[in-house]
Amino acid sequence: MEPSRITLLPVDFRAPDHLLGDLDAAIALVASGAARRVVLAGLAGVESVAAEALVHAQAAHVRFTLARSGLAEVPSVVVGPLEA
Amino acid sequence: MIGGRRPLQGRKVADRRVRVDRPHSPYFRYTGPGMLTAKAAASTTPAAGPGETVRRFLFGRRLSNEEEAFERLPKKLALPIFSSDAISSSAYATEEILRVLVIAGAGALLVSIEVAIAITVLLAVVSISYRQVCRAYPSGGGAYVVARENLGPLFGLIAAAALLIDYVMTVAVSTSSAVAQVYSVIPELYDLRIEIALAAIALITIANLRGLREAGLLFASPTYLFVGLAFLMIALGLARVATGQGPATPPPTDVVDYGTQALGVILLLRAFAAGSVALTGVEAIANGVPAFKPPEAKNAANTMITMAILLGVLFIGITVLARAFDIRPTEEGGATVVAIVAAAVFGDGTPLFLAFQAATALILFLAVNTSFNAFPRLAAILAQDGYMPRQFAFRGDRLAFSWGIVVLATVAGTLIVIFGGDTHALIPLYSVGVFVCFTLSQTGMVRHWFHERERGWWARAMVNAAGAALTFVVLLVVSGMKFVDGAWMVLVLIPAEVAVFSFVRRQYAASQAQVALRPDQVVPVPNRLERVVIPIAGLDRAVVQAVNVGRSLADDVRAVLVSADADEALEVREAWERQVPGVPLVVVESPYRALTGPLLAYLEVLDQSWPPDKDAPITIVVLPEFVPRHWWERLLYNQSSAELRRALLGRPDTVVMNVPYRREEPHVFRRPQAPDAPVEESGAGP
Repeated sequence: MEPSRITLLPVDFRAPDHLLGDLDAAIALVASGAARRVVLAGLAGVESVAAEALVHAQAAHVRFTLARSGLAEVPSVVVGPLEA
Repeated sequence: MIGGRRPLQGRKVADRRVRVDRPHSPYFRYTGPGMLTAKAAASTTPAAGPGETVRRFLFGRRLSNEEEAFERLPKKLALPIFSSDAISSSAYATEEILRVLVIAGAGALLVSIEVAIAITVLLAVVSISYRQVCRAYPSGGGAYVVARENLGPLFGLIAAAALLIDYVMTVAVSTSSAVAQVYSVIPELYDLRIEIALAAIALITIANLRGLREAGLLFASPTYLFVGLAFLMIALGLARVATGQGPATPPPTDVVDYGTQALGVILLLRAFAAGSVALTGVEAIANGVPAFKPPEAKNAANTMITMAILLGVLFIGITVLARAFDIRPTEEGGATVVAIVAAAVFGDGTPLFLAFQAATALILFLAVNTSFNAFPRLAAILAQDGYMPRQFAFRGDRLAFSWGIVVLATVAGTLIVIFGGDTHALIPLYSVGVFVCFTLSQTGMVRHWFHERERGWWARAMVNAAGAALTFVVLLVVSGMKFVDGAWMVLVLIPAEVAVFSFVRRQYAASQAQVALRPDQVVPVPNRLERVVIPIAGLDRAVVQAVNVGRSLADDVRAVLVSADADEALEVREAWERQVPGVPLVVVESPYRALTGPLLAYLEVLDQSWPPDKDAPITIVVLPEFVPRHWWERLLYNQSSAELRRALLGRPDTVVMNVPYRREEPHVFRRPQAPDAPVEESGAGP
């Protein structure tokens, strides 16, 4: 019988500086042209560093959006595209 | 648990039993306390497929290390086995002399006997010198060992380079000559000579990869057969000459025309250089002393002298008969001189003639096999000393040094193709390397005696010094006389090989220094953070398994999806958020359809965004993969993983990990259920 649910091992905890690093990486990726957009989904605690990341994104002329969908417990971050 | 004996207590006080546990017995033998020895089954991969069947058919079952047979040879077996290379040289050495002298006309051919005698004197000196090598190096005194130990590594490498060339040339020359004996009897086969030679080398290669051993009567008989028939031929031939009878079969007419060049010193030296191929293979006994029955050194030394006498008599005998019957070398594609001599004595097409030709071809093939034993062993010693790639020291499934065997066959086969299977075209490349070895080996022995200074050392040193001086002079003569004909190639190749050996050694030494641990160094517990990056193309069980493996390695785990299609990426993201909560997913919408470039760029910016005041983390890239169920599935799956693996190889602070998923095992996703619990399906770790 095919399984319909899966179980995952325990969830991680991410320090704020790591979170900012993830967002900065996404911004750098878009700013360098290697990616058109980068979406970071399921990044727990992202709201705590969103403001700082927004400043970084604006400095790099990269669009930065915090999007909350009905399904996910944590908001997704959409980085990019480059601002005209 | 390895297994062992477990005492059991029965129900009664004195009821004691021992249970012997051997849980690994299908794959291992229990060879001692806490020790397991792998059976052949343990080294067989289940996904071997049809390639394994072909391999088993061609090369046989795998052998364990314990199955290596080492047979000590009595003199009567060692003589033919170790002497086949040297004795078989008599099949073509006379012809090489005649091919030079014929340039100076019929009268010049008369001195072929004197040239042969001069070469035999040289053979005597070299053999007496090598007798002493046998006694001084009972563990096997190849020119490489003697030169390295007494003259230093550089001279050792020169000797090794010359020896390797010598072994390759033995295969090329002996195979070509053996095929020439065949088409001397069946001229129609001349056009197929290259194909026959290559087929013969392929057969010998397969036989050696199967672990052919040069022992037993099978290998001794061709040499005895050749020696016996050759002596019979010489005796009957001399009787014919003595009784004034002419040749039983007149010599062929398609012979090389007499030249008009004057017979001078240069031509004589050229004839001497050409005939000196008779000395090739003389050193084989000194290399193989450990294979003799005790007393090894004495038996080997005596066998060396017997071999030299046999070779000398055969060489001079064949040359005398060739002269007596006024035999000239034939044009290309004609019969060999030794075949014409045999026809002149036994009669063309007679059973004795055919038997002699067959024996000649056989001993030449046996000489080829001598190189197939010696070349891989020398390459293995060089690899162990760090001068050749380490693969040359690895033994294959049949305990043979497979790399050496395959390289020897390939190079020799290529030479045969390039030189059109023509023995005479190949021979100028042959004896230079041999005389380099002789000279270095004998010079090394002189230094050896000066170091050892045991009783009678002065006389021994003088013998080797005479050998060294004489072989050095011959080396100069051979190099000079054959330089234009091809010897220059060997003189270029030897330093080139030495340069490659030194380069390989330096590379190994440098890499060893880079990875070495100081003896006083205590390795601290690692305190660098780890993060896991899992490149995905979608969401499936293989990915879930990889995520679980990643989470068992580090807290910081993220999946990365590189996509050029925003809608497709959105679908995956939604599924991910719903089905894999708590694990971040990074969707990189790439303007290009490449996977590797954007992922590498992502890893790069991830590293750059790491706080500079902290040690860079270890990035563990976990690659989900399918386990192929059939050989052809390898073509269908895991290509992107392989590409990523190659791209990430050598990236700083990065570890690449493959997590294979077996599709035929969906039960790993089911958790064992309590009897009264509701049925629930769940994911699980690997």
